[in-house]
Parts: sequence; C-alpha cells; structure tokens
Amino acid sequence: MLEIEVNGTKHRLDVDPAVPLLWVLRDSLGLKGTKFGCGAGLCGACTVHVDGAAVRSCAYSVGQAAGSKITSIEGLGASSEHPVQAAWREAGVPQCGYCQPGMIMAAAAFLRNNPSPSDEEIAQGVTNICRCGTYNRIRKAIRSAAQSGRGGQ
Amino acid sequence: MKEPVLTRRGFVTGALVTAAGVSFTLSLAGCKDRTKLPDDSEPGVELLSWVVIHRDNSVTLRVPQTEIGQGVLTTIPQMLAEELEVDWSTLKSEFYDPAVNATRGNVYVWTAVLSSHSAQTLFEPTQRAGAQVRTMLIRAAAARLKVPEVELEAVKGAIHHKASGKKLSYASVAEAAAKMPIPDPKTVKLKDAADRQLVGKAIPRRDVDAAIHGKITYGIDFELPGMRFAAARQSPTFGGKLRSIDKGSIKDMPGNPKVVEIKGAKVGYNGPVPEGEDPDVWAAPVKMDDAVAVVADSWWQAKTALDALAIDWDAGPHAKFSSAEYLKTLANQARSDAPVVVEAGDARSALANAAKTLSAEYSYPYMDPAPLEPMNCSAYVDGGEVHIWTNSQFPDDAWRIAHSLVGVSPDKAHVHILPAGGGFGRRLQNDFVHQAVQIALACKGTPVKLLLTREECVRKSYYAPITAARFEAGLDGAGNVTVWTCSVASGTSAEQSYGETRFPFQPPNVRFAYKRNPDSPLPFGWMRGVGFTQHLWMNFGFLDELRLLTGRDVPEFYRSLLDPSYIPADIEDRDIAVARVKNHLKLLDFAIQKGRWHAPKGRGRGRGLAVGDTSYYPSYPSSTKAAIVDVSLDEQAGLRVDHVFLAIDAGTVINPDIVHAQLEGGIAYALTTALHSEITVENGQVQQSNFHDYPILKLDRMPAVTIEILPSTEPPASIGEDAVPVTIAALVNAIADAGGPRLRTLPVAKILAS
Ligand code: FES
Ligand code: FES
Repeated sequence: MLEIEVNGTKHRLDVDPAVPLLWVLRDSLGLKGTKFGCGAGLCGACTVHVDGAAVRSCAYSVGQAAGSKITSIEGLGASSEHPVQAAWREAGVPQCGYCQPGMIMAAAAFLRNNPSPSDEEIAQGVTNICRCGTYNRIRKAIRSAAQSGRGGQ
Repeated sequence: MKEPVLTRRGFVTGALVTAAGVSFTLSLAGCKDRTKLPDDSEPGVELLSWVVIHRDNSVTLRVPQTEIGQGVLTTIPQMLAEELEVDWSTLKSEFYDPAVNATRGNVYVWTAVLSSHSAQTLFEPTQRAGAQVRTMLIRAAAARLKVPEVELEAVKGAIHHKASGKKLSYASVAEAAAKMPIPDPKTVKLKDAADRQLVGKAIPRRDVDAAIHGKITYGIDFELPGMRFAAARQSPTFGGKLRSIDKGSIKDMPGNPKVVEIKGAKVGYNGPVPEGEDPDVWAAPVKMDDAVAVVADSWWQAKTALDALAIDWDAGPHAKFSSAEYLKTLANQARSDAPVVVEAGDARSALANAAKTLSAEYSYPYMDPAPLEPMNCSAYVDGGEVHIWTNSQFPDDAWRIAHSLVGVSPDKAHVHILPAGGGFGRRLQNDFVHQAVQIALACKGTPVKLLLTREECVRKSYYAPITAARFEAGLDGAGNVTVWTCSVASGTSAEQSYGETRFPFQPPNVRFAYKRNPDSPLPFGWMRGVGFTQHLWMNFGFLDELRLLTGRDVPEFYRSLLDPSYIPADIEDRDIAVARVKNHLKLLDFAIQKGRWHAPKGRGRGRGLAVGDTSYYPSYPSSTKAAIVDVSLDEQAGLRVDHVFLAIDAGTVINPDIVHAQLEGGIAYALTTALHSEITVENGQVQQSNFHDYPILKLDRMPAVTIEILPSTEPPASIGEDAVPVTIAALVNAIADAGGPRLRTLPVAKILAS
C-alpha cells in the first residue's frame, strides 16, 4: 500500500511503485486532465505539481511521489480559477487544447518561482511542446498573469 | 469479465464536447435498459439532421467534422446559428453521426477533416439549413397563432408576433415544425453580409473553458466501465509479417494480459473519393502491417507486457531498405525516367537557345505529422453490434471499417466522435480504428481502448513522401526567365504533381515531369499543407537561385513572372488562371508594403518573400497568401527566425481570432517542418522514435508574428494548412539572403550543424 495526496485528498493505493505517476492519476484515480504525449519526459503534456514543483509525471514513478502533495490540473486553483487559467482564457490560447493542462501547470509553477519573468526567462523556463503552435499566446498569457501580480499564487 | 454497466458518467465527462448521439440509443448486451447516449436531457426534436431543439428550449447543433484544434466546434455553430436565430450562450453542439450521414445521402456535405475545407464547403449549406429550420419554425408558429408568416420574426430562440406581443419559444413549436414541408434550400432568404451577427465575429472558442481546466474528453480519455486496455506494435519493418509469438513470456505478468494478433490489411483510402473518380488519384490506399496487441486491465500493464513479449517477425521484402539510398534512386528517376505531365511552349529549344542556364537538385525527407495526442481508438463488439469511439479525421470511413470488419449490417455500427489532440493529416488514415476493431473482435463483450505509444506512432506512421526534384531553367541576355522545367520523383504518394505544375511563376516555355512509386515501402500520409509544403519552398529556392544570377531585385523579379500574357491563349479556364496570377500579384504588393519588405536590415540578417495558394487544379478555389520571414544568422548563436509576416486573402472569414490562431500555429508547424523534421530509415526500420530525435519547435524559438487578413466578401477559402508552404519558402530564401547556405534539402538544423 502506498499513500499519495492528490488535490488535497489522500489515497491509499495498491499499485506497483514503479508505475509512472501519470498512469496512476489517469487510470487509478480517473484524473484524465493530465495528458500523455511522449511517455519520456520530453513534451510536458503530463506536467503536475509535486510539493509545488513542476514534474513530468510520465517519467516520475508513483513510488517517488509517495508521501508528497500532488496537484493536477483538476486541483489547480481549487476554490476558484487560478490566475494563469484566467490569463489563458483572456488570451484565447488553446487550439486542440491537448498540451494546455500541462502547459498551464508548467506556467503556474514557473511563475511561482519567478513572479515577474522577462521574455527570455519565459522562453527558457517553459519548455513544454505545443504541436499546434500556440506559443505566442502562451507567452502573452504568462506575461499578463505576471503583470496581474497574482500569477505566482 | 463483468457485464459492462453503462453509466452516464462513463460517457459524459466533458459537458461541452461529448460524443455524438442524442438521436440514437446504445444497447449493450446484458443491459436491460436501453440507455440514452449521451445527453441527459430528453432527445428533443430533430430538424433537418442539423438541429435538435430540446424541451427546455436549448438547441443542439450538429457539427459534421471532428474537432482537431481547427475550431469547428465554434465556427460551424457560428454559420448554422447565424440564420437559425438562437441565443449563442445557450447553444450546445455534438458531432455528427457517420451512419446518419451515410443513410441520408451525405446530408452533412463534407465530413472529412481534409484540405482545410470545412468553411469553404459548409458555409452555404449550414446557413441554408439554419434558414430552412427557422422558416419551418416560423410556419409552425404562424399556424399556431393564426397569423401570416410575414408578421413573425425569429429572435433568440423564439418567434415573436410584434402586433400582438405574443411570443412562442422554439421548443413549443418544434414538433409541429418538424412536420412542415421542407423549404427549398435554394430559395430560403439569407442575411446580407452586413447584417450578420455571428459570422465574421471573433467569438471566443466554445471549448476554451473545458480546455484550460483539463475537461475535454479526447479519444484517449474515453472510458467505459469494465473496459480493458490495449497496447500494440506493428512489424518494425514495412511489409514485415508476424511469424510467431511466445505467449508464455508474459503469462504471469499482472493485469491478465491477453495477446491478440492483428492482421495486416488494406484499411481503406485516406480521403473521400468522388463518385466515378479514380481513388488512386484522389487519395492513397491505407495499408497497415501485421501487429501484435496485448490487452490488460490497465494500459500500463498492457504496454509493459507488450514490451516483454517475445515476438518473431519475418522482416519481409524491405528488410534492407535505406531512405538515404532510396533518395538516390529517386534523384535518378527525376533526372531521367519521370514522364512529362505538363508542357507549354518549347522548353527544349528554349533551353538550347538560352543565354544562361541553371540546374539544381532538391529533395524532401519523409516526415511524420506527429499530433500531440498519440493514436487511439475504443471499440466494443457484441450481440451483432459494434461501437467505436474515435477522433479520426475521417469518421465516415471509420464507420465503414467497423461494420465491414465485424460483418454486421451498416445500421449495427455506431461511431461516436471525440475531439482530437491535433491531427495535421495523420488521423485521416484509420489504421488505429482497424486495429481497435480487430482487438474488440477478439474480446467480444468487453469494451477495449487501444492506445499506441509515441514510439509506435513515430515508427509506424503515414509519412509525407520522400521526394527528389530536378530543376532546369534558362535566362535570356537581359536576365529574363525564358524557360522553367522541373522533374519530380517521390515515394508512395497520392498524386501530387500539382506541387510543381501549379506554381504560377511560369515563363512561356515550361515542362513538368512527375513520377511516383506506389510500391515503395513506407506508406503515404497527408501532412499539413500536403504537396505544397513539399514543393513550394523548392520552387522558390530555385527561383531565387535564378534571380541571383540576374542581380535583379526580388519583388521586381517575381512580378516579371506573374505575367498574365504568359498564360497560353488556348488553355481551358484561362480566365481562372489569369485571376490566379492577379491574386498572387495583389498579395505580393500588399506584403511588400505592409510587411515592410524594404525596411533596413542589419548585418547577418536575411529576409525572404513567398506568395502562394493551395489550388490543386484550375477550378479549385483557394486562399492566397504571402509571407515575409526575417532571420539572423550568427556564427555563434546560429540561426534565429526573428519575425514572420503573413498576409492572407481567404474570402469571408468566419472567426478572425480562430483564423489568426490557425495561421500562427501554421507558422510554428512550418518552422518545425523546415528546421527539424526528418524521418530516416535504415535496415528497413525508422530510426527516430520520440521528440528527442524528432523534435518539435518550442517556445524559445517561436518568432514574433504579424498577421494581416485582407477584407473580402467572397466565399470562405482554406485556412488550416495555408501558412505552412509560404512560410517555409520565405524562410529558405531568408537564410540564403543572410549569407547562409542555399538549402536544397531539409531539415535546416541538420544542414547548418554539418
Ligand atoms: S508525456 Fe510526459 S513529458 Fe511527454
Ligand atoms: S493546443 Fe494543441 S498541442 Fe497545444
């Protein structure tokens, strides 16, 4: 038995600790907002927060996550919408939308560490793949979340 | 395996973007109830296949295309609702049902997500359907109120009678309206463009909230109670065959793994073929090789077991295939064997008489479209019925595959469309549907979801065709181009000679030759921008090489070839050809002015210009666009794309914000294609496997973008693919302008690194 806390709820799970956290979130806990794009830590579609830090959950075993507090897209801004999501809506970022939960999780963690980043820091700090190419709107949304002064929540 | 129990939760996770199906029911063997799918509300009244009006006066619109990011869940409702007069905020939408489309004579007009065609083909039919339904509702209200129709007006989901102040909701007259005679679509009155409330407005996408909260149920997210999960692997070589499997190697692994052999097959074609036309011209056959699947209680267990499974493959006839060697074969074909397909004037003597001639060879590698959501499909076979849940770009054929493979009558096959995490052409090949149905047939009574790994998606995709081209052209003493020839040879491909022959920069003497090799090992697939993406940059690259021989200025040189008087007097549709050349000139002039072509640029900077359309044949309408790309090239820092300017004349624009997004995304796609994308094959196997060796552009390399949409009242034209070919073409010339190499093959990053 292994215990993880996801979006404020504790779960005791009977799973192989080697299973990537991604599949536990998606398939054991039914949290399908976290996406599978590459399974190799290369695209960031599976990004979640583990104790506040952005982690690519396809390359992070559930065993490693045991005892940690995990936040997935479903738990971001649990009580009300996270400012990054509000900025995303305002900028109309998503196209197919598939990368967006991971992108938003990456951006939220990035802004928490660096609440008023330069464009260069954004470019270096957000390294997820968006195959639809929504990057300029992502950059704009991150800037505006930063300017609202609440992006670092 | 327990009997599956259908719960609503199983079906409806994303409230907005659920699978189709208000109007039909799903019964699973063992379920006593026939369960409504998927809407919680009562079925409502269907009007003309397009509209369902519910008792609470909410309205569901049918969207006859899969959402792959192009925005059809917003744009198609915009077109339909424009004439229907409903409250935008209360609209619902659902994807069409391919079975309905088939049994009602292609009522949805254009359902394949192919050729950037949705706005173009659906603009008229959707508005007319909306107007027909509105007319029927008004007629029903007129009968109810006993007043003449002309005194009634439809506003926001209700029929108003001004004189009496009476008002009837659509819901209250829907049943009566459904019994009204159907008005002639040709005579229903449509709004003047100036009166439109929805079309042309930058309305936010209807799925944005679901997207940013992770609540869209994509194909990969669909789940049913009692479902089992499959991972699969095709023969690692193309044309390889399954010899044997050592099932014992995984029998003790967790998750009750079950091995299923998937037979290689001809799946179908990768696009609809108009009646009476040659399918091999309009589309390409979709073949897949033998594969092995493991089905288990969870996908991770299935994948882990598949990785451990000992499989013996017969590598087949292409075991030694090398893409590098094959390119040499194609280059030879381009030099000598390719048959002439289009000729005008006398290219041979023009070349012989030219003051200067130039020839060059170009090539294009195999590529994988690589949408971010890996291929997947859910399927369920039992009791003589088959259900599939898919985000195919070609659902009509997915439906055909389902009923023909299971061997049931067409009405027993049900396709439920789900949104896709990108498509870019890849999902037009329904191999994953065929595989999922084969697996479900081996697991009757159990719903199964097939999901392929990224590695499998890269190694067994449907590829943009490897291509070699040889150009030769001649100049007179004054630096005018007198003759242009191009000869192309490619691997397995749809007919794509248009990439060379439809280049409108043509002097009076031209000759085009084209050969494709239908039996080359790698299967062909559509990739955003298709033949234009492969060829336009070659055409512009060689044109620029010629220009440099003359010392002429770029716009002036381009204009000299966009000369309507060069168009032969005797060709069919000459007026269309003239209009096309004029459109190119218009975009060229617009870009030069608005795109600041003449603005000063510093050392190590380069600028490239390209103009193009995606008109496959003379009567094929297309948008026209121009791109200006600015780059800097530095010994240390390498190449940077600084800015992309893109202007487009796409006729009437349904939603400018979505158009903007599509073009911006198209630019990113172009940059990945040009800078990074290459699939190579050695010993019959694809050498790339994931995003480390098949990289995708990231935020740090995304340039600033300026987009200009030209105002127009013409019918809508293509958008989705359109930014790709011109951006690549302008990019390669910008790199040469910056002092970089003349790029005659891709990807750029590899060439610059060598
Ligand atoms: S799926 Fe985890 S990084 Fe791509
Ligand atoms: S929006 Fe489609 S991958 Fe990013």
